[in-house]
Amino acid sequence: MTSIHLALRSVSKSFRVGARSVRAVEGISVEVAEGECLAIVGESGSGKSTLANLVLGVYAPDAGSIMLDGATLPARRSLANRRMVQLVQQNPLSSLNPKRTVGASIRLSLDVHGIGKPSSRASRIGWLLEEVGLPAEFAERSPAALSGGQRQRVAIARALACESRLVVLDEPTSSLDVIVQARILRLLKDLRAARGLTYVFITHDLAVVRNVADRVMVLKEGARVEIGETARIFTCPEHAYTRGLIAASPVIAQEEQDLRDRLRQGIG
Amino acid sequence: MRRSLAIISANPMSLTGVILIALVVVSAALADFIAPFPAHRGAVVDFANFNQPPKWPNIMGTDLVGRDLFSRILYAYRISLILGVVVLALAVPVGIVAGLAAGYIGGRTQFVLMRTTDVFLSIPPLVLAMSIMGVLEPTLANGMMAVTAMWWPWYSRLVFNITLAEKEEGYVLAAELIGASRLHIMFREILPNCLPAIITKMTLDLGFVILIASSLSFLGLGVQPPTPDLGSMVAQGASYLPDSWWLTVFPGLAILVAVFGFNLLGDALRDILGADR
Amino acid sequence: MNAPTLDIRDLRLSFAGYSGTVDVLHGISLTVRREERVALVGESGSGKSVTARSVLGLMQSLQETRISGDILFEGTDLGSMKESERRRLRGTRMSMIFQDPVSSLNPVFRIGVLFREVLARSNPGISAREARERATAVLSEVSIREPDRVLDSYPFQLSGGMNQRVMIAMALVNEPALLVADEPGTALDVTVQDQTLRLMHRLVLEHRTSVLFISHNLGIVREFTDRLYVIYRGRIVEEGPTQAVFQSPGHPYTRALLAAVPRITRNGIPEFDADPALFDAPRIVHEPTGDRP
Ligand SMILES: Nc1ncnc2c1ncn2[C@@H]1O[C@H](COP(=O)(O)OP(=O)(O)OP(=O)(O)O)[C@@H](O)[C@H]1O
Ligand SMILES: Nc1ncnc2c1ncn2[C@@H]1O[C@H](COP(=O)(O)OP(=O)(O)OP(=O)(O)O)[C@@H](O)[C@H]1O
Ligand SMILES: [Mg+2]
Ligand SMILES: [Mg+2]
Repeated sequence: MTSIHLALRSVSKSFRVGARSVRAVEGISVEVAEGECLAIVGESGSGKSTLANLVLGVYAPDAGSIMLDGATLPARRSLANRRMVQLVQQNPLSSLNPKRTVGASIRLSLDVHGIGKPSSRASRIGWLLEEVGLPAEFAERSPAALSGGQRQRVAIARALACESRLVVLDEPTSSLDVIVQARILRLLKDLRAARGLTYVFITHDLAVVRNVADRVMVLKEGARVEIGETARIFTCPEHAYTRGLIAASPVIAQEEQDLRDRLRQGIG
Repeated sequence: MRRSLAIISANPMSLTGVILIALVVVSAALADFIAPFPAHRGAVVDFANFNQPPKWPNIMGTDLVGRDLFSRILYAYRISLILGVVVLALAVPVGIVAGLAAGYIGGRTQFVLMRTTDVFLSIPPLVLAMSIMGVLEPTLANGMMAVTAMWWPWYSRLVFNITLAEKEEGYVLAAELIGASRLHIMFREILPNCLPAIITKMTLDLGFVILIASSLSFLGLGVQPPTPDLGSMVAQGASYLPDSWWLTVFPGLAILVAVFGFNLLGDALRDILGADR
Repeated sequence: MNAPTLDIRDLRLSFAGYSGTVDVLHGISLTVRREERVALVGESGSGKSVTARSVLGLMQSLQETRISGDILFEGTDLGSMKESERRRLRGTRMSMIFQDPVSSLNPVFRIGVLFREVLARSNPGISAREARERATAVLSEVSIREPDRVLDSYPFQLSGGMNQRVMIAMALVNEPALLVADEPGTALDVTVQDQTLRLMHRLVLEHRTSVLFISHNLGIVREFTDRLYVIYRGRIVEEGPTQAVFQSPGHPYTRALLAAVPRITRNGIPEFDADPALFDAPRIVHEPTGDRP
């Protein structure tokens, strides 16, 4: 019996754009179990990032509530709340400050939350880097001196530094090439197993979802279209919108082509 | 460092800038040793030798009371540089804080700070400085204050614009989500990304501050006699043109060298620091 | 008359930086025959975009590039042409689609103005009305339903997908012999990307355009190209008909590349055989101290 780690209860959020109001997220409810990886998919503008930002507390929902470990999160997050959930962004080039060393970026989490004795923080940074597969000496480097994949590893190390058990990953591999992507996905999987992390994994690459997620939630125009076990969503999607998304994915193998053709016929 | 040297030596203009500024700084710093007549920076009168064209030992001639022009120019450089450095040292931090706060915090803070900036920017600089100097006594300290008052808004605007862009970068969001304080984000995360642009602008501005200070003294509002000042030297000499040309030409050239040198140096720094945004 | 549309022979390129020269291309040779769609795939930083830009003659005029080797376009060496001649080719006989449509369309002009400029490149005397008619026609070819509204819009007022279509329309309006597409559609989401690429595919077939297609998305490459070159660290490591390479990749890098692609039919992160040090090593670090990105 696993417990519920994150729960959204009819969460809504709209934005004012000029005179109009854009409903970015509309009445979403979902529960994510401890240690689960929930993927959120949908086309551009469907509200994926808005949902992530709500979970992260970038802004508060207009309606509904967000619960972590059974407790409702306040609109203004405390430092302790912040420590419970971290983000890995799409573009590590922008998510790491170009003017600070990798070590300084990771150290911020330790300093802000008073993790470890100040004197032990340097070695802690070293462990974190090693945990994501980088040599500890990289702490001295600036992000400019790293490849894209290495930068994303640093961003992951920073998210782990807070010791959050919930990590939101917003397109964590979309700016990387496939080989680096596969390696980062493997790292994320190993970390999840080792640390018992819960992931909210946002992407529009369905093949990635198929590989990493336990369950998938499909969004369309801010609303939940469908949610279910990954294998079920991919083999017999209930909703035509989901079928369309899968059928639009580029594929390389014959079996994938067959699946896609089958789904395309389903759309008619 | 090697790269900086490479950039500078690769570009003759940058090299010229470095040499000119080195000359200006050295002559200002070592005025006491270089100046043939150090006493002439003060109220000395030598009517036996007044208004002489360049000839040894007065290589730039003498002024209307017989003081050595070359010596006075060296000391004027010293004052100008001190003025420039002090003005920027006061104006830049004010501008940085205002720009960062307005850009990062936004809302009401932004409204108040940037409106104030706009008001200052909308008044022509000389008019602003002149009105301040008109009210206050025309001393060096007040002169610096006047120039500072017109200078900080440029920095607040510059830093504001960069901050607006940097604020959208992922690293700012990351720091916010970690729970870092506003002060940390403004000064430790965003500011380092503004520095190249700020440093470049400061170098360019040193020349302009000197120019503006000279214009003020040209109008009789800056540094007061007998302290040597390039602007007032040009102003005084102007009524004796063209016969006593050296009275204006040498101080004028001195201004030109400093302004030009700082501009070239600023351009070189822009290349080195990659501040072109 | 049987010269291939594009023939690159032993192209070498390096950047002279302040900290020495950085070799980027170590002798690339590739051909695009008439009406052929050729893909260039490889990891990030392997030199794909640099190759594309060299074909368009955009690298030759840069101060810091050292370039050698021949790029023959329809049998003529680009290197022997004057800069003005190369410029005349761009947008007329050869054109390019960039990865990010929004930033490659000049934001201060309306689409209509941009279009007219493109048309004027091949027909300097074209009248405003004529240009508008042509533009309207091509825009409807790329399935834009309200060409008039689009022509009166600024790029940022259109969605990413629409901008990408506009780019495609502009690239094809002068009936180029060669289209260089550098990661078209990567900035778009799957559904829009799929639609746009299908559309581009249909158009190049209709207009018999040769295509050099740059991508690291193998799925797209498989679907839209006839032949394939794999570039790794500035060298071509494998070449062949797309289907054949997908079925039996020869080079270990190609094998790793194919194995690394996640499948929509299979659970589990792809396993592949690759020396980790090789793939995660920094690309080209221009400055060890690195104070700028
Ligand atoms: N800060 C904001 N102000 C105004 N509108 C916003 C804001 N953030 C998001 N929106 C709007 O909300 C909708 C959902 O946006 P969101 O960024 O969540 O989409 P997404 O699913 O993450 O898309 P993508 O795949 O392109 O990242 C969009 O219509 C967007 O324009
Ligand atoms: N103007 C330049 N000056 C110096 N180095 C450059 C320049 N342009 C590109 N490079 C370097 O050349 C190499 C190849 O770059 P290129 O843009 O062709 O890669 P790519 O294969 O297109 O990668 P991606 O898939 O990320 O677009 C990179 O290491 C890059 O850093
Ligand atoms: Mg998003
Ligand atoms: Mg590229």
